[in-house]
Amino acid sequence: MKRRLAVVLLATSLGSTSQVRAAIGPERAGADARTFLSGSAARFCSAPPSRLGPDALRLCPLADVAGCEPLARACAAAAAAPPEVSNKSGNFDWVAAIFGRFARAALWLMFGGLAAFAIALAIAAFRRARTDRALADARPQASAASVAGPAAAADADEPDAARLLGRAEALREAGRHEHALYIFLQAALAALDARRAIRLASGRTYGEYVRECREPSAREPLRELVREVDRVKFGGAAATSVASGLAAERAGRLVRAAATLAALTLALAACGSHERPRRTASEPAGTEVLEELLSRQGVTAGPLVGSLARLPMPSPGADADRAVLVDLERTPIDGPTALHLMEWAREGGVLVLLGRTDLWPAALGATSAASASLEVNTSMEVARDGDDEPSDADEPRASSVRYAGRLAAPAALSMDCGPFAASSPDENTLAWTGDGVAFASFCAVGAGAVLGVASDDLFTNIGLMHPGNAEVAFAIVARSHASDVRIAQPMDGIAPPSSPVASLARAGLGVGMWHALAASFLLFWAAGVRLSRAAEAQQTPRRAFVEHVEATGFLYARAGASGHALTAFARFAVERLRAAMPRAASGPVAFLAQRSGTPFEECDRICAAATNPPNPMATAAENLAELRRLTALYVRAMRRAAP
Amino acid sequence: MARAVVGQQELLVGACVALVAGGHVLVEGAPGLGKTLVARALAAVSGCAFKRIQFTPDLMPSDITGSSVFDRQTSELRFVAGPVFTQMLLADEINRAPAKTQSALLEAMQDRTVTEGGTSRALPEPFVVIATQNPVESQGTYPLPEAQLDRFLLKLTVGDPPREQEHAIVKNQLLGFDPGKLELSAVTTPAELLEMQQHARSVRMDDAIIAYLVELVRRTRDDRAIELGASPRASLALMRAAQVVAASDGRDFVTPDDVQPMAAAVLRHRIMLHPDAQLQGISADDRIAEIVRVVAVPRAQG
Repeated sequence: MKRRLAVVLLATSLGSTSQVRAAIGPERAGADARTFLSGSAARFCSAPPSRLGPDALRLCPLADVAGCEPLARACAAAAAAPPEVSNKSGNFDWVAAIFGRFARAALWLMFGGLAAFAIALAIAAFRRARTDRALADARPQASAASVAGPAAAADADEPDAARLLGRAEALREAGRHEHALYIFLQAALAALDARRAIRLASGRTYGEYVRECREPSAREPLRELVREVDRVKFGGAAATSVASGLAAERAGRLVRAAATLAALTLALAACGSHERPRRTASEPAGTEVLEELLSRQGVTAGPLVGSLARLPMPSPGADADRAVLVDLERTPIDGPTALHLMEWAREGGVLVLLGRTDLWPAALGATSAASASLEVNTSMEVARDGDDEPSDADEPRASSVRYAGRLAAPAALSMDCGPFAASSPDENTLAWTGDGVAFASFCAVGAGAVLGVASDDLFTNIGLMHPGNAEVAFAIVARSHASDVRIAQPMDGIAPPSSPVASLARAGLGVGMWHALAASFLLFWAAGVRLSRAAEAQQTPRRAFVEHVEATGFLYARAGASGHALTAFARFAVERLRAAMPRAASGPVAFLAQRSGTPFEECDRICAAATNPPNPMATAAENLAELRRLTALYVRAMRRAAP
Repeated sequence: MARAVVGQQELLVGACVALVAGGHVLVEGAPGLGKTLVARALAAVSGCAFKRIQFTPDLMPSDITGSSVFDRQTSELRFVAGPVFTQMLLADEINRAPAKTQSALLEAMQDRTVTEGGTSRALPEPFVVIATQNPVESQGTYPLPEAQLDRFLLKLTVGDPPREQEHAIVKNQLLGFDPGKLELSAVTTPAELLEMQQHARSVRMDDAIIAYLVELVRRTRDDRAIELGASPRASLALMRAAQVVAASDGRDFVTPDDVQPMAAAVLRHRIMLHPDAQLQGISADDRIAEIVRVVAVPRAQG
């Protein structure tokens, strides 16, 4: 009697009994696990890594499986010689610290150098673009367009070689051999361009196409075709039916080569995609076995593509049987991701969470519970074998089957499903530990569900190999109703940065980024100054003499020689007045009096006092007052003397 | 010629094109790159009479064209022809002579006549001037005036030979090659050259090709990096050069492939770059290459 297991979901949590849409069968999972273990793909058992990682070490208690002796030996060896946390380098910590500082400085330098290099490139590109824009002839010439004519447009508008070939054939049959000839050439060029054997450009000649053609076999027919077209187009020769026939044959050969190549590529692709390459599992804590067993049950299983934080919201009806499995021990999630996952579940997604409850989204209200048992139990109602004629109509058609597995370490949970709970979690316990504490629970969340498991032990490669574990794991997964299970990868739990700036800031390069921005600004500013149009140099006032006078004044002031300062300035003033006065002027004093509008006697007195040797009896205040008077006169006179 | 000259394909081809097109060639390159050797070899294989003038600062126009001297016996002025009366003239280091002497070649190059004492005398046919100049030296040189530059059909630049070619040059000398004694036999005659020139002029040029080459030349006048673009004489020169290239390929019609390779040689000495462009290191060849790249090539349209 043929037996067929039909898994029936005890969906008491949903208030109704419904059949599991994906044919997930715990019994079959167990059988598949045993088959997998006996095959060569279970390399984590037969050839485990020489140094087991912490996750693998955590699962070592499950390695006591027949067929997994190498792993058990590796676990024993690791337990006998625990990894040394060497403290030998303690004496050289200061060396490490110094090198660390150097390394950090070198990293910053490298980053700065890279930034500067990129900026330099940008500046060079900017300059080049500016030069090109200034120098290039931006005005398209109408005559050039007329020279190129519709042919250039045809190159761009009709890239379909097969269509061009058909059009050329039609023209040839209509007796328009010249036009047919031209279109044959266009078809051949389009085909070669599509195959990237040539690159069409308006400034390239047919000869260039022939010379640059990367398909040696196509070069000769193309050369002949071009020769014939040139003979007709530029040589004024008449296009004959023979010529167009030869062109048709050559162009056809060139175009069909593309089709053949495409067909060959498709065939190779089809051959290559015949069967999915069998995956091998080499890491005891991996999830390859889970994927494989799910696939063998007809469930679409594979790694999640993209971040959990960008998981698209389930569309009603379309994603109803899709579940996402997140092993929080391997895939820690951050706050935004947790929020998005809960929103995703509420919108109709089915989320399967594995691992310690402290890693779960807080909104689920999951806490770890005390349990000392390694045993884990679950039960499912499984349909009885499908006899054609039921013997007794009153006999129940499904029977409850109990499965038992073993954990590497005790784990239990308590989940109240938080504010999202649509039903009491106590009624939704899916699996229990040996001491009766919940191990896996189910929460109806909005339109979706969250299925929480206190430990990922059962779902790891080695965990699934342990007798009974695959059955328990698949009995739990069966509650997800999923026919498409996507498994999150270790890096999927971190929300991708919203921008490159956020990415840099998250990588701890925020300060460096600001430094680079500042450097960029400075570099752009410097380059901009250099690139700016040369401006007319402004006439700056001559400062040298003024500075000299000021310096001399300070010297006299420090020396307390105000008399000498007065005398020096008076000599200077007289000399300048002499230079400025007209020939008819009787002298600088008269000139000063006339120009400054001051009585001659007054000017004479001031000049005499100034030009005579310093009066040792005069105080500094008197000398300075005299100097100011002379200066005022001088300035007034020179202003009026100026043209 | 390949027996005498190693490499320098562009120079050889350009010189041959100019010879068949009946134009003159200006060769620019550093000393010792074989410019003179190419000219002599070309003269030898073409069967043309060859003369060479070494241009110097004290060279006088009459040293080129010739002059009338008093003949005591006949008591008349007798014209003594200068070295310009030849079929192939090598004007070596032409920029070392002052403008007045350089201009003595103007009439000879354009009209193929020499006027002296009010009498014009025709030069022998064919008449080709191959002038050389050194781009490096500036002391004691006189740049050619634009009017004279325009008379040259092509300006060819000579670069350093690749390592293999230089190796072959040295090895040839060791094996007894003497550049002073070219043992080359003529493969044609001046009369045949004239026939070739006639044939080249008869090569068909489609209107689309004419429009294309005119567009190439006109673009040099609109280019902002070019202060002074090429004259219509450049269009004529480009047409003649393309005709020769087409004929040398055995065709009796010109295609865009015949025009493009000659564009640089025809145009590079006919354009004057803007000072800003020169300061930015842009060369005439760069701009010409860009123009050739952007101007749409005439195509067969269906």
